[in-house]
Amino acid sequence: MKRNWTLILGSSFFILLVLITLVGPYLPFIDNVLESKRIIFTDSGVLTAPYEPSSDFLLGSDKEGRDLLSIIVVGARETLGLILAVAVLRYVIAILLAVLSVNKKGPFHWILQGWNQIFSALPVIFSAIILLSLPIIFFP
Amino acid sequence: MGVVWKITKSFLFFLFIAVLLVLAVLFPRQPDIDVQGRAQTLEYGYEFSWAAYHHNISIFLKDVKDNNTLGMTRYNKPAEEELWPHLGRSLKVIVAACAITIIFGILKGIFDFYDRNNGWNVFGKGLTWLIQSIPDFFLILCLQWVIIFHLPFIKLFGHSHWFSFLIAGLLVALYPMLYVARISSATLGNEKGKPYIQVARSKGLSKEKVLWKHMLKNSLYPIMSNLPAVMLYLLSNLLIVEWFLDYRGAAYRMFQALDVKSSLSGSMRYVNESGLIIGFGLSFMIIVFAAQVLSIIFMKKLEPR
Repeated sequence: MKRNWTLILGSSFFILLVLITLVGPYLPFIDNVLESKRIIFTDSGVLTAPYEPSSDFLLGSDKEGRDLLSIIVVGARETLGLILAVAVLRYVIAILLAVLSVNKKGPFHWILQGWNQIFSALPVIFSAIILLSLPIIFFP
Repeated sequence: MGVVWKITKSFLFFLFIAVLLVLAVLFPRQPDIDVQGRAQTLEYGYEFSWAAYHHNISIFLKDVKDNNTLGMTRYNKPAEEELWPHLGRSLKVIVAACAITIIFGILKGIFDFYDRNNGWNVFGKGLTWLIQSIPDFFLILCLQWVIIFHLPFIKLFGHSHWFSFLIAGLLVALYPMLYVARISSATLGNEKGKPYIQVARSKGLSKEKVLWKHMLKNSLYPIMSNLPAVMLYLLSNLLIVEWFLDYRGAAYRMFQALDVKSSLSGSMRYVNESGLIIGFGLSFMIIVFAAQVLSIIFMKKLEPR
């Protein structure tokens, strides 16, 4: 059988990413609090953020003095969670709507068709901004 | 008469969406600001009022009818004065991107189709797959980095150079092009085993002639039916590209007018540019509608018989 190299490569990247997000926070050089220190006093003088990569900051720091590697590791977990939530929600809603409108009539079929057409009239990014900036969304 | 009816239906639908857009943009957003307690703490609240909504709508309608304008902008100009130049700049990008997407997308699709038995060819499916697995904004950021630090003679930013729209168009078209390439290589693959191809080949037509005269014509049908989706894809990319390249086009200006940060926080600095937002929103919708009409007409012409 032919090896599916793209699948192997993609899954190994994915597994690596998941491992980093799961194991990363327990590693000794990861700062989970994302403590910011803008100034470090040394024997020879004062260092101000952003710092260059060193043994303390493996990838350097941002201008607030937070360790970049820690930011990536801590942030990756939240991003992955968000992506997972989006994927799950998308499948649940889509499958539900599809099953409910399987006989091509009724309100769910109508929702399915209308939804698709409404959001294909204007680029989603603009309709999303306009809808999300309605005050009823952020002043419940 | 199928075509006329389809176009009319689509037009009515767009009209409906346009009304929804106007209503959503004109929704009253003014927060109520209260002071609380002895410390006079500011408290933001919001209460919907029909009177405010009615006021917004009637002012907008009056502006359109009596003053022939969509409203004022933050620079105290009538919205049209900003609408047309920005739209013109963006239209150049959209037309260029559309041409690049269709022409190079189909060519790339043919290349991928010939190449697919090769497996790991760097320029064939492998490349399509590789680029598609990177998020588009990330790729654009990386390209920006390379050009700024290693190819500084390329003037990347702004809209003042004659070639600025080409750079933006190329970046906008990058992903839609791969989408078209995937569709066309897949449909060419579907056509491959069909009897009419075998008949044509057995009558002595060369492989290339069969491809260009027959297979491509039948593959154009699914490509054209995807035209509205491709156009939407282009327009969403337009915002990211214009923002990153500081290209002052319609998407850039619309994003500025939406002013997400201060409109979400109920800030006092929020400037109401609803007329401009409506103008740009309608222009984008007209572009998508045009793509839909083109797609309907092409599909009628190319219908497989």
